[in-house]
Amino acid sequence: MINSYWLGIMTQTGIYLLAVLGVCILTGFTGLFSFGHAGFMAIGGYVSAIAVKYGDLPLVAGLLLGTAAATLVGIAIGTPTLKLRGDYFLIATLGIGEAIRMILENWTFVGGAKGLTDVGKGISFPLVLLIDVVVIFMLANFLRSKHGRNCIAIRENETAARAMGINIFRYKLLAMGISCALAGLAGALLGHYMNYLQPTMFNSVKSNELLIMVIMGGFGSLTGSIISALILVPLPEVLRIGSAQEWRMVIYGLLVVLIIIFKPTGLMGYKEFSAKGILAFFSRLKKNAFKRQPKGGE
Amino acid sequence: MKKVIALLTAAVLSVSLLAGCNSDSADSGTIRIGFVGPLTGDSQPWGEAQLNEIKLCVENLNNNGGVLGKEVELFYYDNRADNIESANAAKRLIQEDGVCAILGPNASGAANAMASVCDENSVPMIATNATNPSVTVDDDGNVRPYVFRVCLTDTQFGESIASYAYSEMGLRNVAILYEVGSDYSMGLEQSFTASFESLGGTILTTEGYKTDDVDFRAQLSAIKELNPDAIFLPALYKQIVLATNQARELGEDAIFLGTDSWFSDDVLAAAAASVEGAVFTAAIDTESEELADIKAEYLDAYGEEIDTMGTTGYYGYDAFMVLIAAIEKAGSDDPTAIRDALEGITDVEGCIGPLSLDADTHNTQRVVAITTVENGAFKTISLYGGSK
Amino acid sequence: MFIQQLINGLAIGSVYALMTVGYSLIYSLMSFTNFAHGVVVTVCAYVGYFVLTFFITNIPVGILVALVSGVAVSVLIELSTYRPLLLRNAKRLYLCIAGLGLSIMVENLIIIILSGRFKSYPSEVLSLGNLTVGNATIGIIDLVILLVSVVALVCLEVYIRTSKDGLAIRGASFSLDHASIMGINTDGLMIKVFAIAGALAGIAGFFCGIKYTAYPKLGSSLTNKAFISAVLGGLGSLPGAIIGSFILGILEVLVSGYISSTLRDVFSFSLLVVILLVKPTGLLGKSSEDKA
Repeated sequence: MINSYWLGIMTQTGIYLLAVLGVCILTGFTGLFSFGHAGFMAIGGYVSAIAVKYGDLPLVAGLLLGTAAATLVGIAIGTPTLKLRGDYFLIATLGIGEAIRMILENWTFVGGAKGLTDVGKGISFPLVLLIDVVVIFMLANFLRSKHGRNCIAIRENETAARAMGINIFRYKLLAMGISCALAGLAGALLGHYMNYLQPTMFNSVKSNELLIMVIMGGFGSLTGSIISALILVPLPEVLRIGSAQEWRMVIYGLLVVLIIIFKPTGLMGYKEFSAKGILAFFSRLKKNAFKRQPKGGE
Repeated sequence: MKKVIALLTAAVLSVSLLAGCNSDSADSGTIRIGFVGPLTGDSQPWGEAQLNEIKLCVENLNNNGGVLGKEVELFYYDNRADNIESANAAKRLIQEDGVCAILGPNASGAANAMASVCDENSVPMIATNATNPSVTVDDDGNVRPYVFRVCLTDTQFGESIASYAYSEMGLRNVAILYEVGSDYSMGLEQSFTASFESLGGTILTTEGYKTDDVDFRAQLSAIKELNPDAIFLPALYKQIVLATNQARELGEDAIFLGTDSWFSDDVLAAAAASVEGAVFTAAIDTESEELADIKAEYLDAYGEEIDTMGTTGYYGYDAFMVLIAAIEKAGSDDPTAIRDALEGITDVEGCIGPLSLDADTHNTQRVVAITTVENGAFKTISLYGGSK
Repeated sequence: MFIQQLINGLAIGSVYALMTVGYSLIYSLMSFTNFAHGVVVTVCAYVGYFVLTFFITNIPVGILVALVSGVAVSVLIELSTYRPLLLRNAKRLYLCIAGLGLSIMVENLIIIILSGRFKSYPSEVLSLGNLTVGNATIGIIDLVILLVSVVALVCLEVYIRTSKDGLAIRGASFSLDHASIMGINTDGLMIKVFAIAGALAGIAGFFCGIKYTAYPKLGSSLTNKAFISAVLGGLGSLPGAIIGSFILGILEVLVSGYISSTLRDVFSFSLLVVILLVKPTGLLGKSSEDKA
């Protein structure tokens, strides 16, 4: 039914979704913007690639190592930088993303600018889908937990949160860790999906795209980021006409400005989908279609 | 969270439903071929030249009866010089459009990305301008069964200019300025260094710059200190313009050496005085009489010269010719048969002479044109048979 | 070679300075990072190209036109993008993101309208020759850039120290809200500040266009350097911005010349991160409290 081309698109969407969710956690729920998340994807990707290609480890081990490496680097970098103010942190992440890419370009062991070929395959759509579902489940739970609520509190008003006794730094670090872990996992999956890695695949344009997707979806909402990714990742493939790609970026830029000005909370705002909401929506449809009296309640 | 999972599944299913119906690829009426190249972005001039030339070739061929009695249909996609887009474009060509072979791409990174796709789907690709050796031969020395190319490799280019510089020009001390983020530039730097040193020359220093850099004075000042006979600059047209102008401004008047990326009117337009006397290997001798027809046709059809920005248009022609020859030899448009025919194919009528693909490496041998800039214009001064 | 590298560094630093001062001015007044600053530089580089190529090949004229365009573009950006946000007291981070969005939009628009290929200024302007001082050479154009930069920055400093507006700016840089309470027209002030920053950025764009050709990513690639210079010198301090720019220019050149040209940018960014960690206020910056 579905040919490998579209399956490939869906797989890529599923992979980038993880990175977007990572940025979402960091930005949406802790209020920190990162301009360099593609760098963490790169770390995850390359570590996993090296493990599988040169260490002869199985794919799963590679993925785990990649994720772990990105998390560790994220925490190591986060520890000093998270103490900085918002826009300083932003510039620092910009620098880090670029620095990671430049180091990879210069390092012949990992292929340098030429990249690393034949890093190992084995990523299928069902695998990515499974990972996505598990991660979303875990994140949703996290956000409802005390820890999640603390993160949201920090986003809303840091000083007030501190006054409530929340250890700001620890939670920021936690959010950073989770966010880098997801980015690393996404990078590792991407590498093995493409069977090839090159530092240019993780440049600042990619970091910006991740951020844009989160902003558009609404950085207080997991659902928002998911919808955003589902639409925006396949979009270049759907729009294969002439200068469409540049226009796409123009529109993104414009949308970001408009969203920030008019609805900074993005598409979904702070809301998530709820079962009640969906059922209410459908029952309203049903009511109008068949003109029956509703049984009661929504 | 259950609702979130529900949402995700719903979205996925709807995407798959929308995408479910793929076009019927088993159309026996035409021979379908594909092209992937940069049609937007910095590399656009090259991709465009190739695509335009290939379109002309398709038209000509169809007017003359096509191949195997059928017309050729060309499908093409822009890869924006991005690796992931290249892989997607390749998949789309194979899965959606049902092509039997792909021409392109124009860059080694993209070619590496597409190689996996082509190998997996058993559809051959003929890279037009991907010069990194690893495109056709992987790190373990195994040739990639479905990847071929009609251009020379970085190794061959580097060797030819190094040889010429040492033997014919008598240069002994050369400094290199290369782009660190570019596999093209790094590959050339490595092969030039290896060749030049093995001949007995000395590389005084190797300075690098980052991909978006525009100021090279620090590196050029360091190079000037060492007083080189020549400076090897395997860069793209913008950096060539800037680096050469800045070098001359600093009072550095060594000769510049380069490779095929130097062959661009933009370089002459913006840096004619600075590049006067530079020597580089153009991929093809553009002054050759044999190219006259191709040039005239292209000018006629598109209103501009095929080689204003480089020689890639000619590669498009060659790639197409090789493919058609292979289809004829295979007697069918079955991708695997075409692949077998491509391996070790010989004496294809290329744009400037017979073309053969080596059975072991899927690479080719070509004669390069040692070109110089004389009085603000390009001039071929020698032909150099590629080694290995 | 050291003298030559020093000269190279000064030349590069003077261009950085023009960008950094404008950026630092905005930061000191409004405490946010103007990511759209690069837009002004890029646009003015193109404006300069068109004027010099199609109208009159004359550098002073070019500088003037670029300056005026810079003011226009910068004020336009402020009014259209930042003003609505500032009016609703949006978080500073939002302003950064809006700036980013704007810069992506304009960069891609330029690619669509004008093509991604670089536009080189007329060769009469490019080949002004050079001056040899001992072992070192300096391009005449670099001397011009250095001169204009110094003049512009001195004028700015004088303006800030002596004029009434300058006093207002200095006062407002401590607290915008308090300044408005004191009767300063902060809206007008913001426009003035953006205009000044725009003028400097416009000149910077023109010079960058001459030296590096006009291309879509010109502004954004240099904006990063402006940040680093501003942080190095101390965000919020104009002399700091200037000093920071020259130090960065010289350091970059020295690292490139004596250590490794390939790792120069890794060095710059690492320096940035280190400064942010060790002394976020930079060399001359004033320490700012964490605002709620």
